[in-house]
Amino acid sequence: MKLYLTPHACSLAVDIVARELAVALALEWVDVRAKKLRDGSDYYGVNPKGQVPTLQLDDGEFLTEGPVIVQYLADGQPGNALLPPAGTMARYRVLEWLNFVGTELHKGFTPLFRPTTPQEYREIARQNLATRFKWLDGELAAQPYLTGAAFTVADAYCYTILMWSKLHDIDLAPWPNLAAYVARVAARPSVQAAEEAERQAKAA
Amino acid sequence: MKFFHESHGCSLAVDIVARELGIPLEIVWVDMQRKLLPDGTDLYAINPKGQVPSLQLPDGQFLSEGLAIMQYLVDQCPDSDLASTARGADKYRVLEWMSFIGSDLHKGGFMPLFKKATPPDYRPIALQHIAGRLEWLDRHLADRDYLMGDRFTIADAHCYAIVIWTKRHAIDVTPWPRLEAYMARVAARPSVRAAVEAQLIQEALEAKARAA
Repeated sequence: MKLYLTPHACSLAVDIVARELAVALALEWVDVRAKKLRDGSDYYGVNPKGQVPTLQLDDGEFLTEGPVIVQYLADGQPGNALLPPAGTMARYRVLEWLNFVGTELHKGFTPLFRPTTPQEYREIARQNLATRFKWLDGELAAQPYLTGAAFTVADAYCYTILMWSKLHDIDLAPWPNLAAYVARVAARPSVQAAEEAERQAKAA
Repeated sequence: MKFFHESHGCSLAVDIVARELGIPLEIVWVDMQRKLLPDGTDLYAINPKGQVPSLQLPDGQFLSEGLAIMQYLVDQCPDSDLASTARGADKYRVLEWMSFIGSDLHKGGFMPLFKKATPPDYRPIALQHIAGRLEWLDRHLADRDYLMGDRFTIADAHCYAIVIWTKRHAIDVTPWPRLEAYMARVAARPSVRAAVEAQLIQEALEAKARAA
């Protein structure tokens, strides 16, 4: 399977999950601003939405949407530790977290990434994020990961988005449990390997 | 099961799915402006995120996030038509649509239009992004009745609940005729008519209470 990804994009979450699952993916780095692949070809031919990540499956089809790709990868490894089986309460809790991260955190950063966003709205976006961070900080006070003791696909995604705080000079120090969570996930070998792959891609 | 719902919002999608499945839900209408339940208690007590939808499960736990709730509901009816697409081989395609709808159409699209704090000069930018998404949807619906083809899925319930916000924000959808036809097609379903009517009745009650 081939993963189309860009350094510092939410596609990092998929690479983290694949490494956690020991699923080998061919990495295809995309210039997501120019919408071009390394060989100069048009990325819209892979994903008409022009977004990363995209996963090319074994049958050649393309699957998009990070939170869905990580479910697909995990479900492909029965008995894995990253995503409980369908129909269980534990699964709904992971889905609940994936949805929250995708809608409230991920899209919460979007105005900060867009050059056209006026300064006044940037302030509002930062305030909205701070409100979410405060709530998350409370959730992580008494447990190491979002759903409890186990690292799940939701943590891979949440970590990826929280790391964008660095890109936008948002200091996580006001939320110590959140900062500790980021450090805890960052220490995982899968995360270190995925981030090293990003560094090498940028240097290339 | 108690379903915490509001008279406007995306929780409509959950009500549509429950009605499609024939799952009776006890609707608890939340005052989302003041974040209060009908008995005056604080919404944050049952959902610390202060959002709807929220579903109270038979064992008393609360489940939030529309997508998780809709998945839960279809799982209760494994033989239903909705379950066959939400749980079968097409499952990831259904989820793919719902992820896009939730992040790019809802939060990344319409959300700034709803927030009073959004400065006037951001609104045209937001409208541009929405138009791009609606055009995308319109193209996709050129050769099919529903997002997944010829069958109504939970992704359509979700999509409908968001695209009808075009009416609330006076966004003319005639540039996207396939989308317009899709909205009418979904609106004609008995489950959708009933869910929309329930919201309209509640909205009228709220307006009356405010005027009093």
